[in-house]
Amino acid sequence: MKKKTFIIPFVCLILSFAGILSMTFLRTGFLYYCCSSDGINSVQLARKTSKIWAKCNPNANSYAAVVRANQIRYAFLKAPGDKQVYNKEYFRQNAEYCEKLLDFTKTEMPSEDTNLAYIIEGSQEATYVNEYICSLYLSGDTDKAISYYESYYDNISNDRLYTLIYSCSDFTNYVCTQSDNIEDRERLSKYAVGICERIKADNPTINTDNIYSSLIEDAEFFADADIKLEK
Amino acid sequence: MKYLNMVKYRLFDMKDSLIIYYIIILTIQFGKCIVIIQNKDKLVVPEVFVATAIFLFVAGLNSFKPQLKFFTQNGFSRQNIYWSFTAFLPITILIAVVDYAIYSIQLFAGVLLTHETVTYADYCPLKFNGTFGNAQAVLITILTNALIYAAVMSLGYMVSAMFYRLNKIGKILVAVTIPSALVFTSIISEISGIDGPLISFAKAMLFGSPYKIHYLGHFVCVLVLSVVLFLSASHLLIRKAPIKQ
Repeated sequence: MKKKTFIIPFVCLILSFAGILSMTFLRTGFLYYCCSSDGINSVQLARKTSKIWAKCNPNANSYAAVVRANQIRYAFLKAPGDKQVYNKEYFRQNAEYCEKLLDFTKTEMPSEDTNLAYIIEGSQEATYVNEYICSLYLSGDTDKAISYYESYYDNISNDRLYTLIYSCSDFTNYVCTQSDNIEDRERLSKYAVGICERIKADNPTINTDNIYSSLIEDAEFFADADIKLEK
Repeated sequence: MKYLNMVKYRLFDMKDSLIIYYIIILTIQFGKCIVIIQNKDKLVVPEVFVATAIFLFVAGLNSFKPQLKFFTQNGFSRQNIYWSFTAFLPITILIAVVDYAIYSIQLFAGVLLTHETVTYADYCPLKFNGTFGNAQAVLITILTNALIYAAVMSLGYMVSAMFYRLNKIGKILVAVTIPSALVFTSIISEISGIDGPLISFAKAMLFGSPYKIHYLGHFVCVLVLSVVLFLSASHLLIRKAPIKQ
């Protein structure tokens, strides 16, 4: 009798603890932290964890797997505690990783709607959408950035460039508030101005004055006071 | 009958502190309403839920030692004492209903005072993703709050049982290291602006995402498992607890 009173709570204790841990690992793809540190491995890991997850949840749709895969992407790009340097290489890598994620989803879930919008939306963070668009744009793929934007937002008509600027502005501010690295902030402020310049060059007829000045104000606000940005 | 009497005793024991708590909460909220009228502020919905969670954690802390002494003196076994606490936990459903009623009254009063419109999200303080009807969302909010309350109360109970069983050095170690580690981590996180791996992992454990409550199902499952975990640990700690003077 004495043994019983000890065994039952002990088993419950172990099972509940194991339950919480396994749910966390399966849900968030935190296995990433144990196993891999580069993008390609993360995609492979996403594939593996998707399969495990699908076995555990036969009724679940693949959307959740996409969500988790995207979280692994996020973990890859912004591993907690890492000092992320937001330079051109970062944006290039991010854009490349989003592409890999898209390929992965198309291979794994051909029957699902594999529009990239859904994959990015899977993360349920509008910031990621902006981040991806900006990554494409800043890594030099203007056409792709705009076409992705068009696939994500249905009715952008002639205002698409305005919206694109807003997206980049939001993202720039987001990164600036997240980063305590002054060099990052300076670099991002220059990117913000660079976006406007490129948009103006791409489309000289567009009137970007208001957005342009607000973007510069934001960038200056978040940047170090020493940096002077000229319109 | 034995358990019923024990649960009744626990209810009676908690009654006064609950009444005092709600009098204080209502007074504070009434004061806030006056401030809103005077300053013509924006509609602010006060969060009674966090205050209640803290109150119930303390109530959990106080549910161990006095009851252990009282019940053992009256011939109840440690097993009985443990199960009476477990049977007492559903009280959190009632508390969650009362809290939601207070919250709704505040919301309604706020609308009357400020003439602001209330959005659907205001009715459901837990921001989770899902397409629930209004009544369904209210019910889910109440049940989730009840689970949160049960988890913090059983955590308090477990902490209290753990302190009761630890020796002097163990008590000092636990009392110093855990709060300092928490304060240190939060200061680091505040300074760097980035959640460290520990905080991110804790958030991921609780919410299923290191960022916010994305998955209500995960959150609810973790809460249920946490209640089981804390109660099981309490059971093991109570099993051979000596009666100290």
